[in-house]
Amino acid sequence: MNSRLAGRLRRASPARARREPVAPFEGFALVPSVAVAVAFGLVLLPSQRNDPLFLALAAVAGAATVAAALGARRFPRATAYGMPLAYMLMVAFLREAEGGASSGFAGLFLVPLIWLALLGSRAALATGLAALAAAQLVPFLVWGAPAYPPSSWRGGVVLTAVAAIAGVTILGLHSATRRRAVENERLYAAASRWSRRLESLNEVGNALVTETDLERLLELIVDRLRALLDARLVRLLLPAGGGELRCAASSGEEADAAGAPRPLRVPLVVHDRRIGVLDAYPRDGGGFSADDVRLAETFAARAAVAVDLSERVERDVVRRVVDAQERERRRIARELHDETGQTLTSILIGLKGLEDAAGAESLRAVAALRSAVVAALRGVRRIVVELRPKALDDLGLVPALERLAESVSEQTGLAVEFIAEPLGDRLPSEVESALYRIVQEGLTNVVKHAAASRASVVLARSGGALRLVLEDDGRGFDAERRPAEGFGLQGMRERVQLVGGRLAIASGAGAGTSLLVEVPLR
Amino acid sequence: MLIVDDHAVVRTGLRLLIDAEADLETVGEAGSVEAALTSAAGCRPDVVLLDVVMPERSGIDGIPALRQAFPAARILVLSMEDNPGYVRKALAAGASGYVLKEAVDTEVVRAIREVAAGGRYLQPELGARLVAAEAARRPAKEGPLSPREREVLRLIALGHTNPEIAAKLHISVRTAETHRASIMQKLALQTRAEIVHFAIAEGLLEAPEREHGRPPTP
Repeated sequence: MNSRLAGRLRRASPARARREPVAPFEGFALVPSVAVAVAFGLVLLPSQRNDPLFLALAAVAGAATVAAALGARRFPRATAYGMPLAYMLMVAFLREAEGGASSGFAGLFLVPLIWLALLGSRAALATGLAALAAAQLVPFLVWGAPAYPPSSWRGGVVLTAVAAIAGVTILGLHSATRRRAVENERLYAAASRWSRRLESLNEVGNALVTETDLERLLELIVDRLRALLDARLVRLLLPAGGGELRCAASSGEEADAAGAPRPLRVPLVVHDRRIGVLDAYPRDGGGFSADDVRLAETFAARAAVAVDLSERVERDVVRRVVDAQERERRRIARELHDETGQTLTSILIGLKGLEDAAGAESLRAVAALRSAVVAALRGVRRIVVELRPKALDDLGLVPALERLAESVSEQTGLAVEFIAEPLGDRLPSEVESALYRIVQEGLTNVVKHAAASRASVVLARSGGALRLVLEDDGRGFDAERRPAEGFGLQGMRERVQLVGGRLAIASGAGAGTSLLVEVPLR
Repeated sequence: MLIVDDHAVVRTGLRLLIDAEADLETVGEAGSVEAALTSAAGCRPDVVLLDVVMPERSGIDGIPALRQAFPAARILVLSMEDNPGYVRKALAAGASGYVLKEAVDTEVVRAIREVAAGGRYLQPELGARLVAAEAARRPAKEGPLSPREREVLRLIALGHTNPEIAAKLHISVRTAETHRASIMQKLALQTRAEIVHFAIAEGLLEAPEREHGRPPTP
């Protein structure tokens, strides 16, 4: 669509067509008056048979024409019909005054008719034609017969007929053109709307493949949608954990959303699962059409794909990192256990033999060596358990946690109570690893930051889910200075999400902290 | 004695240690449970000294097979693992004793004699740990609370909010709040942490979840 065509179509806008027949007056109102002046100058004044009466009447009608033209701005509709009438009367009187059959008058009659026809108003044209017909009758009505010969007034009748046909034809052509222009405008608007939509969708589609930053992609989506819907504000909300939504991307005026009309809300759906919503707020007094809703749904579907993809990639990366980490820890733990542990064990046995053979002096040295080796062996065992307790693989989550709670108590003096409901079957190893690491990390946090004297770890089934509650009686923290994602919380959250669970944390200054993990059991 | 351990150095050391005692003698050694079952099948040990963590089959898993192969022998587990779960599992599988490797030089000989004489031997600190673990599994007692209140208490301890409790027990949120208030008042508890500790102490968290909406029959 080139710009010239666009310009033409814009000029022929339906809004302007609706304002007719009033508008052209403003530019062309004085055309008939100028024509009259020309008639006076060229046709009338050289004539020999001027009749002062008719000249006077023509002057009055001419003045009325000018007055009507001048009043066009204030009384457009009255002028549209009044001025041609006054003009025709003027021409009729002029013809009487001239008393002849000068063919120049034919042209004068046609001027307002063509003009009226161009206005495109059927009523205005009819009025003009009636005025023309009346002008022919004036001499008969006033004086019984015109001053000019019959051939001339017959000519007037023919003229009226010709003017009528010409007027109707022009009117027809004119309105057809206008209709076409209106239709063109409508088609163009629709086409450009669709082309804009396609462009935006295409842009979003390309970005889906090439844009790696989810935030920028979502910004693009809300931006384009807002432009297409001509909305005041478009926002994309994603779950923020704890059942709340956070704004992931927005475009438009964020202010006074409170008093705003209810937004159009479209869900982001992936595999029958709602993963977020797209809100579009209309402008004041505006609304959205069914078309707009469909468009918003299309954009929401694109956004859903993007969010889902990014989450999957993220989960995949986290899973691989976590798997690799566990594998590596397991390997190191095994090596420590097998190599270092067994070597220390054999040294211990060797020391025993040495002790039996040693003299009294060496005995003390052997005893010191022995206690060093025992300490090393214990150290190895502690590190092995921290890295990856064998019990977690062999015995399951509950015995592993039992021992963890106990060793934290032994090593730090924090009283850790661990209570678990018998879980029956073993849990998936991914879940066991995740929960074990969370308790490990959580207890480390309690020891490091909470200044607590007691902590409890509770593990039980509730409904179709496994719930883990880790609480302490420490100093807690305010919602304000909440260590948002510090203290390894981010890592814990990721591990929980990997196994499809959720993590919540509650605390208040001086009220301790409780960490809740819920993992659905399949 | 039959020594089953996947580390040759440890086996050698143990053999030296045992053979140094006048009344003890090593009759065989094996690097795995399977090897013990095949190559050592001919010997008739009184005691099998068994490692837990070994490639292929773990020592504990091999106990039943070893007992079958050497019906006269007592089994003494020697391991680096100090998790009470292993101890419990080994004893349940038919082991007569459990000793940690860090006490190999001081305890093993005593343990072998004890076990060979028909007794049982648990390294003292392991025994204490086992008792502590068992003590944590106290049965629930009836307190001043109604059965429904005990149920609510359990859910509170599990971190459920009032609306969640209401939904689970098919009661209104107001009723759940009333239960919570009444529990706090009856037990003179003030914070959630206190509730949790009470619930733990009462063993409420180990009660399997009951059918919703039906009080238990006394």
